[in-house]
Amino acid sequence: MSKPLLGLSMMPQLQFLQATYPLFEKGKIDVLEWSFDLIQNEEDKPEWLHNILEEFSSQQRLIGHGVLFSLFDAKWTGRQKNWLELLKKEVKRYSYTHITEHFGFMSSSSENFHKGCPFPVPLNSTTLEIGIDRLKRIQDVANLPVGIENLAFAFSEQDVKEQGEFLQKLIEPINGFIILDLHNLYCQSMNFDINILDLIHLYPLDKVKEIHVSGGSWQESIYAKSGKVRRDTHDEKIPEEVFDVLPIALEKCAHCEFVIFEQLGESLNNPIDALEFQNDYYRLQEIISKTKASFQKQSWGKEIILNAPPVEDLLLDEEQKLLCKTLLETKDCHSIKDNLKLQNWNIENWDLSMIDTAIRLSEKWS
Amino acid sequence: MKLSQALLSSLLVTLAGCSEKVVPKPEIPEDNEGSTTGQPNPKSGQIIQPEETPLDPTVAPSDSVQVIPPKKAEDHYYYCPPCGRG
Repeated sequence: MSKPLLGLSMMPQLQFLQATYPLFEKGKIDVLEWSFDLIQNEEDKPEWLHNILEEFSSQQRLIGHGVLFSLFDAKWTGRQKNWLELLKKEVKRYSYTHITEHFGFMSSSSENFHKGCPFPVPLNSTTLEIGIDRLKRIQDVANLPVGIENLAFAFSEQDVKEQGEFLQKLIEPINGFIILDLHNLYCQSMNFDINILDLIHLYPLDKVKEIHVSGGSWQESIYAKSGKVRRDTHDEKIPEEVFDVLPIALEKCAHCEFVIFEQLGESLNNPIDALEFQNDYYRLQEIISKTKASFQKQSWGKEIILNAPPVEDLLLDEEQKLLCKTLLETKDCHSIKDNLKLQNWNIENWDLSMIDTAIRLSEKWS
Repeated sequence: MKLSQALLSSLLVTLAGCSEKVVPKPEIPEDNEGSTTGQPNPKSGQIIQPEETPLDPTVAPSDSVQVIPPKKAEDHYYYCPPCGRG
């Protein structure tokens, strides 16, 4: 029985290194998470960053967190194939403890990594089959336990309430695990007016191996009852509500080994930002040290036998593309709700404020 | 996790090199003149370390703290933010 290890999502900017150096120097960072698919060319990786990753790798304290695989793309494309090639090289380069990806599909089919944001998929048997197929392929290449992170964004309250159960079905065939992102839950809690503790209980907490904490920001919205929508932008301090829920989550997640703090390097622009970041980190450390929670080591992953081509669904592929195109071209969320026809989604249940948010996300990442 | 001293030293050199490039050298002598804290002003590239106790973010930093300006987005053409795309 051990306490969960606390660490950082590593960023390649020098201002991130400057803000976190005191934590590294004092040996406060027990584990590093690295989004390996966001460096375009290996030769572009700063040497200092490689050195840090190598040191954590050598201590078996490095975890890999993919962003761009697009787990639920209904069509298998070069994007997924190339990503798996990258993963193959990456797990040879560093010794990762596990590999994770995000729930959803990327809004841009372009392999340009500057484009696209994750959107949710309909929770049906088609997407479940696709998701399981993709997770198996990741595990087959990585030969490591594989996990998936809950998504902050949802179109409807129904999707929010069903995501946990869907994730459980998704990881079962690979004996995978879940990253429970508490700020993502906070976003859903705020945007759909659901108590965050009620939301947590909708997840298979015995499958949580890792917890994420971060901050975000508010977007004004005339469509939201509260007049604002919570966004998972990773550019602000951790909200008090997330600090409050962390000890509760830790006690309920009996197999949680890691707590990872995520904040964008670009958001650490001055000494106040840096001190607030460190302050948040020390608060997380204090919460973990005070909690009575300790995790029981669990065996994750299983041998995968792949004997079929990738699962595809052409109707879902067409609808994913149509949705993304419509969100980019149609600026009126009423029009989208009234006129867009998609067999796989229940658009009648979609919240206008979230359609509006999806339009803004599409613009931002197009 | 404790990092090796060699790695920590190399990180310091990296940061110092960065500071020398982007932080203008102070025009005042590098002593406590001009410092509101009574402490010597930090040298270019010096890492400012906080206390381990929680800090009050509403308190402005002392004048002696130097700022490394953030890099512009185009400086990070090879990289895009992970997650946080919500």
